[in-house]
Amino acid sequence: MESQAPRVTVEGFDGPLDLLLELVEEKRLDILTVRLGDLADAYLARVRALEALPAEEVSAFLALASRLVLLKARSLLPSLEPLPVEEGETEEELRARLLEYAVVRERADALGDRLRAGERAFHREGGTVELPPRGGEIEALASAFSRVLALAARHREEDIVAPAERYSVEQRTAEIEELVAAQAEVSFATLLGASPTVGFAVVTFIALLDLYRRLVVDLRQDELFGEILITRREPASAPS
Amino acid sequence: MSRGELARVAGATPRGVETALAELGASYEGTGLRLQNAGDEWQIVTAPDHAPQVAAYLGADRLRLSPASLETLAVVAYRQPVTRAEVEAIRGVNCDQTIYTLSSRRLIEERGRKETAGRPILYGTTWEFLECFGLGSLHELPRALTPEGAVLESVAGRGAATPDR
Repeated sequence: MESQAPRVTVEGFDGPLDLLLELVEEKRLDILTVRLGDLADAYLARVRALEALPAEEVSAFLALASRLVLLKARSLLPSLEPLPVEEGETEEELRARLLEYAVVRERADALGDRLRAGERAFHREGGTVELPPRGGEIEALASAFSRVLALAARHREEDIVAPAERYSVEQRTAEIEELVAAQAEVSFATLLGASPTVGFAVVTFIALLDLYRRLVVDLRQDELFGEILITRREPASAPS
Repeated sequence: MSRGELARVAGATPRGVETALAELGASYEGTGLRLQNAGDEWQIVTAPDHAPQVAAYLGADRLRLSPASLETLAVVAYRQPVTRAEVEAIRGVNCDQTIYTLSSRRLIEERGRKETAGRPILYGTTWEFLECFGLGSLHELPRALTPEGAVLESVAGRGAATPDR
């Protein structure tokens, strides 16, 4: 059920027009020809039963009630009631509204029938399949793996040799900066050299990240597993 | 998927795509699938005849709407795009709550603003609306009325076209 919609109805009526239409149908009157003013008494009788409603809801019903009473008064005393145009809704305008509403209610019933019949469609859940990025060639994967194996082999050597090298990030940063200033474009592989130790690679990498953070260099990788290229930033955008 | 996307992917003209879509739609007839279309968007969905089975498989709940919500939905569906004030004028009641309910159930959605005083929000039906009511497109909205209803509509339409002055 529609739990989040506290719906206010009057004995099952969804509004003044609904109630009026219901009266027309109950009395088996022709909506096209019925004198709406004649329904004023029956309508008022129903509205009187509405005291439990919030004021704003009742007001809508009362507005229509007053309209109906006015229409009735006019039909009883036609000579005393000339029809100033500005005086609001005429009987024909009200009838037009009622007709329009009657059509809407029929449409709503038809939609409700469809809903109850349960003949609905379903789309496939999950949307589009996420494809991996292009360029994941099998050869690239193999060569990357062989590089990893080579690195792994070197690790063991280092463990045994345990070199006492010391690198400082500051020093390496200055070196890279110099290199990039001279060559405009340097690849990451060049910076690492042929057989870097882990310490050297880490320091180089951190130095590079630092340079990038300080907007001294730009980093670019054109394809998956491709070379990382380091280029100098335009001096204008680099802070002093 | 939009017609433009299909044309780009297939390397075809929009017209060619349209023909192909019509053929595809026709070939689905009598099968468990069908094409659903709203504006320029197309999607393959399950055929409404098989809804009970698919719903059972998915564990989907049946959508239920109150008569008030259905009325508001009917006005939006047949008159879209439409403002809340226009819906209220037709139904003769405040429609805040039903519009909120329908929006939160993704049956209607905002469709920009009407360029009149206050720039009120315009509402239209959604893709989910078509799905929930098993409509291939808005063209499949039930048009037929009861004989009385048809008379009412023709009279109501005339009344709206030539307001009594």
